[in-house]
Amino acid sequence: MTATLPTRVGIARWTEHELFGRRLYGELLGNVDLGQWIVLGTTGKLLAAEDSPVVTALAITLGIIDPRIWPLKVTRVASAFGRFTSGVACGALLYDSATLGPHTGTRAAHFLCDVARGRDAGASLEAAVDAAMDRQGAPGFGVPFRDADERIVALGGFLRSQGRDARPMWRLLEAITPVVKARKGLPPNIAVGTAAAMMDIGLGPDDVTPTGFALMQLPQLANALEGAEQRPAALQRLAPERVRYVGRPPRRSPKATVVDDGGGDATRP
Amino acid sequence: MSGSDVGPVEAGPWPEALDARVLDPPRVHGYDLEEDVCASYRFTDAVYLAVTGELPGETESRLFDLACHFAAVMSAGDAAPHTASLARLCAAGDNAVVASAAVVLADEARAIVDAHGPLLAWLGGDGGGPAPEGFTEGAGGAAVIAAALARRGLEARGVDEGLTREAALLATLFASGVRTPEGLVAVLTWARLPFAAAEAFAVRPKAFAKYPMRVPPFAYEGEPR
Repeated sequence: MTATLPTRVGIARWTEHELFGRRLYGELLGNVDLGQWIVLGTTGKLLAAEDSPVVTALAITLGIIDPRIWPLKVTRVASAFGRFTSGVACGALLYDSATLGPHTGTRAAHFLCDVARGRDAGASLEAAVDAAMDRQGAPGFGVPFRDADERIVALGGFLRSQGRDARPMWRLLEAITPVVKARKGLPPNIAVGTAAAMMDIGLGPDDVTPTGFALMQLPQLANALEGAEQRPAALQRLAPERVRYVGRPPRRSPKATVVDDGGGDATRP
Repeated sequence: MSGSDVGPVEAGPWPEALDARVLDPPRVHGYDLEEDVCASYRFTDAVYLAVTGELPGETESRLFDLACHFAAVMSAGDAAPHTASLARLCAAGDNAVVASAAVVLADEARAIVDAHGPLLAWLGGDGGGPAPEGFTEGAGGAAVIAAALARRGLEARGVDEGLTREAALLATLFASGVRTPEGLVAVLTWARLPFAAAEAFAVRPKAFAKYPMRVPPFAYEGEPR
């Protein structure tokens, strides 16, 4: 007996289809913009139209597109034989990472929520941050190779221009930033900025990963498209002088050694 | 350095070459595949070398080869060949069919390895005692693997203790010397890939009417969240 799988994602009918209980053509078509569409697809939640610009802003602040950056470099290498889909697929696989990519946003969101719960329970800001860091580390903090994450700086500027910096999670983030900096020497990165901004428009911590993933597709797609068009020999195989072997030195196999010593038949495995 | 054209990539002390730790053509882990390994070993031995860093002895080679045979047994309804078959059905290129199978095989392999963590710890431990709970199903689960081992005069700890088939397969690979999670994932994926792909390539592209759309059934719960 085959089990029936429940789904709330959608269903196709003859002339009208549904997505999370909403009619595609009779309800959504012409009435939601791209930001709302993305959030609906990743969370099942219909975002208020006035919050959609935040989604666009997040997509842009997450929009680093330099082909030399590792998650984008992988799409160039993977598309080197002319298939942009392979580039996109391998780019997506790389984001199955707890260190880099959309999963870091959910971890950062849970960290902010942990701090918020501590504050709600009456702890001082410092105590709430310390307790949360004891439990979870400091996800969303730390900026490699530079002093500040220019993406969260840009996002903060946008939210301020919209009057959205007064929303609770962004305010909390701004409040805890000097505490984390004092304790760990770590500035905030775009993961915690994304988490705060998304929660301030009604998304939950676990919504941050899939929504972040959707918003991060364009840089990977753009690189995969150009990479597939170029089909560069230089990425199909790096030039020999660009590969440095640091592994085991040359050696003879035990069976070859036997043959060398006059025993065995080197022609038969 | 400063300026609008300079960023971390330009400014950083990045190395000028990619480090290679295993592959030094024609060598793998130091052994010449073409002149040495090819002359004296099976291809499964070369795979074993890649995964473990050393060539197998005769017993390890036979255990590994046997395990790979059993690993390759699968159903067309398993997720990996099913995924690849759907890609083929949708007329995706051969590359995408194979890649689709590889992705799901690797996911499945990782799920298997993760689920058998306590078993692998037991296999690697010094103590005795029975296999940990949850990996045995009494007589029958691994009987065909146990019988195959016995016919070849081979042994793998735990296989004769009523392990499940999956557990017995991992135990056999472990006995052969493939013991790391990444090694097990790599071997399970590699061993199964041609078979999953073969099932997919037998599908006629665009024969949509032949695909069981309602298997398994989905029940739409159309309430807005």
